[in-house]
Amino acid sequence: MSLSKRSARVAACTSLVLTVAACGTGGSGASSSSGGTLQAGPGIDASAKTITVGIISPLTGIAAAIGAPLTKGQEAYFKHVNDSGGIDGWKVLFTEKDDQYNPQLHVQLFNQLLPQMAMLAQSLGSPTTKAIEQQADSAKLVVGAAAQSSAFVNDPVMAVIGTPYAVDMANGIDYVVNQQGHSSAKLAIFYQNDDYGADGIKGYNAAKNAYHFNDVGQVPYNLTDTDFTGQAQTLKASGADYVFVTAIPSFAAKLVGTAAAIGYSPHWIFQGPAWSEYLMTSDGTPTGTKTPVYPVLAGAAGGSTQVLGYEAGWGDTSVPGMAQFLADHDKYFATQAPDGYYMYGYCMAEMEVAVLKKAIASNDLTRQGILNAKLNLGSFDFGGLIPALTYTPQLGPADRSTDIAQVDPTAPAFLKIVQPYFESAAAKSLSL
Amino acid sequence: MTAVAAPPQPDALGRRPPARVLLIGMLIAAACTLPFVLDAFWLSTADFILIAAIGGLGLNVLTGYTGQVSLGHAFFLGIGAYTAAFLSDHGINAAIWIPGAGIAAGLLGLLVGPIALRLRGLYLAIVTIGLVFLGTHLFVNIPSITGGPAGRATPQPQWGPADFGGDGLTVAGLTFDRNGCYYFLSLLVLVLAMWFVHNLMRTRTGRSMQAVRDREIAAELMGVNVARAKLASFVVSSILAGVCGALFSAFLFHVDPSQWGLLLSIQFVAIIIVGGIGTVWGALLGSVFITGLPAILQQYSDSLPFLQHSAGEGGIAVSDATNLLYGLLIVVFLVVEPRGLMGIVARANASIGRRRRNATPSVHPSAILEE
Repeated sequence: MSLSKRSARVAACTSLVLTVAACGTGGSGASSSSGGTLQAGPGIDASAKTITVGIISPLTGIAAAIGAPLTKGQEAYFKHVNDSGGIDGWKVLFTEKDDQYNPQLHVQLFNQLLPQMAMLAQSLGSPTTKAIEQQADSAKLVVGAAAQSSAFVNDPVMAVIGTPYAVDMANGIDYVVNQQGHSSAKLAIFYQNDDYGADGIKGYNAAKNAYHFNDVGQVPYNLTDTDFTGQAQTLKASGADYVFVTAIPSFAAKLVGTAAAIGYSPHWIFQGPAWSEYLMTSDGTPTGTKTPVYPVLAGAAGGSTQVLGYEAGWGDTSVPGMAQFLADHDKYFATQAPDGYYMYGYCMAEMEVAVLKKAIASNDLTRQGILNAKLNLGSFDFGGLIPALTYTPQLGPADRSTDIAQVDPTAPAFLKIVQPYFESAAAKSLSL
Repeated sequence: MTAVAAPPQPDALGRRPPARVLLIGMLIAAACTLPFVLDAFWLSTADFILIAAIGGLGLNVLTGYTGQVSLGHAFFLGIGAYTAAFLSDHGINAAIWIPGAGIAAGLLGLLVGPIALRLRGLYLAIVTIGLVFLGTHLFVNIPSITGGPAGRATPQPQWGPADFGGDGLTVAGLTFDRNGCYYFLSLLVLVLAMWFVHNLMRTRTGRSMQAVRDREIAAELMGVNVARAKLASFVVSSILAGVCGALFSAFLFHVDPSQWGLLLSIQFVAIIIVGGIGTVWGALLGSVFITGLPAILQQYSDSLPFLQHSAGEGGIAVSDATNLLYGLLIVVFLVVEPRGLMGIVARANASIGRRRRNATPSVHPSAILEE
């Protein structure tokens, strides 16, 4: 395309010699080669039969402990698909970018990838994903959002797998109050004072309305806090028997450690992101150096630690999808320690491949076509790695079930499933 | 810059000679063609650079020209962002909420300014840190405006066919996407702000600001109204911060209270130190370095040997490297070239044998904390 008159005048005004190639800012251009009746959008090369997807993840920095294994898990499944003939012959190419968990950089990288991707296979985190949400909406770009905040489950372009935090929390309370029968136990919640924590509180209060349990405290913390003596004292004074922890790992560890130091060891129930195997040992494996909170988390002080999640235990071969998952792990990332985020990433890629497969089947690989495929995917089974999801045009969460794992030093990834997937009444009726 | 012949001096009224006007015209024209050659990544980076330069210019008025050290700049950015959001929630057009953000922040600057009448130097810096924490607390606790801890979506300018939130603008076959629209809007605001500050510093008010910076007591003895100069400086600085905050939050689509933290204030201090304290161009030059830094490191991390490319590998994480470099740049510039990049420009000019008698020299930062 040639330069229009107006910009030519502007260019002429300068004494600079610039080669102006694109006709417009941002220089976007969609590939439009076509094969047969298939309609192709950006990121699709119909002659080479490739689909390019983007991945924007914190590969370094504070959230790298989540982003790095999650991205490897995704890569593992994409490689598995490509090595076994692709999706009906189509290969998935992925372009990875490191956003350092910085929303500003996330926006810049999203802009960079937007013209060349058919789908954003991973956008990790709430603040980062919200910064690109509107742009993704108007581009009709399907985004694999690695964020369980319930904020994303009602946006058509956001493809979220797993259970929202609020639903996990409601299920966790049901587990304590109803399934274990501690109906008069004192419960409290320690939560991060942001979007994530707000989701935890939402589930906590919904369960409170449903079950009328004995709520003795809701204690917030800020990411800028460095000392948790105040919070630990408050919780100890409240006499809570069960403390739900909607936090991130480093802060959860500080709270548990501080509480133990003042002689308070309740049953800790961690929201999924509060847990990391790095809380146990220096390298996240059983052979690493034990951390100071290792004994407390393992229950040495009399309490216990449980983790809310929706993933199968690593290596549990009674789950049908586990064998293939482990085989791919050994083939592509054998050095990756057993890790829940890795498995989550693997499942995200499974969902995305299913969406692309449906789009290919309907001969429409435009962004609208891929979005239609996502909206009408219906039910999809992960072979038990995580509960089956359901995507419909009515939106809502992919799933409302949770499993409970107990910290156990002898189990792989230190977690032993003590309660398989279930869906509580409070979770069912929770409006998101 | 080298294309200009030896510049004639400005006349007694400070009017610029044609050669300098031509140079600035060429720079603006070059800036206007930039969006047509940059890809989307660098264009959105350029947007953040221009927006940050507006805020940096504001801090330079306060710290660079008037000598009042403030670490509370992030607070005024936040005020601007939420004023914009609040006005837009009430159906008010961006033509009003952008300046409105500046006015609201400016009014708060007027309220906060009197602190500077009683405190100076490091004491003022420490008190203004308090503003940042106050702001964060405030922003978290008025969810109806700020969305609370979870943050909120921000309004997008919409003027007739120009839709900043969606498809941008198409005029005469020329498409400006969202990044392009923000680029030109920010460029316009920045150029106006630079022009304004440049002229302000030649007025009675501007000169009294600089007199206050150079020697407060002497200025007062000579009849400068110190209180007025400081307040005016706080107001101008806060107005620019507010406009910057409104544009920044709009371009980012979503903001939460944790963004208006101390680190953001320090970034602005870094911008003016690296760029050149007490200069109009310093804020822009500093912003190119400081705001562009994470993008540059991200883009070239593969070819930089000391950076780690994924978690667990050896080397420094890119995000840590960015923060390290902020610190390092501040230290290196303060020790080696305290007058910042503008100081380097001045040296370069001097070394090619041309005097810069007509240019405003940058200020040595130690002049600000002396007294």
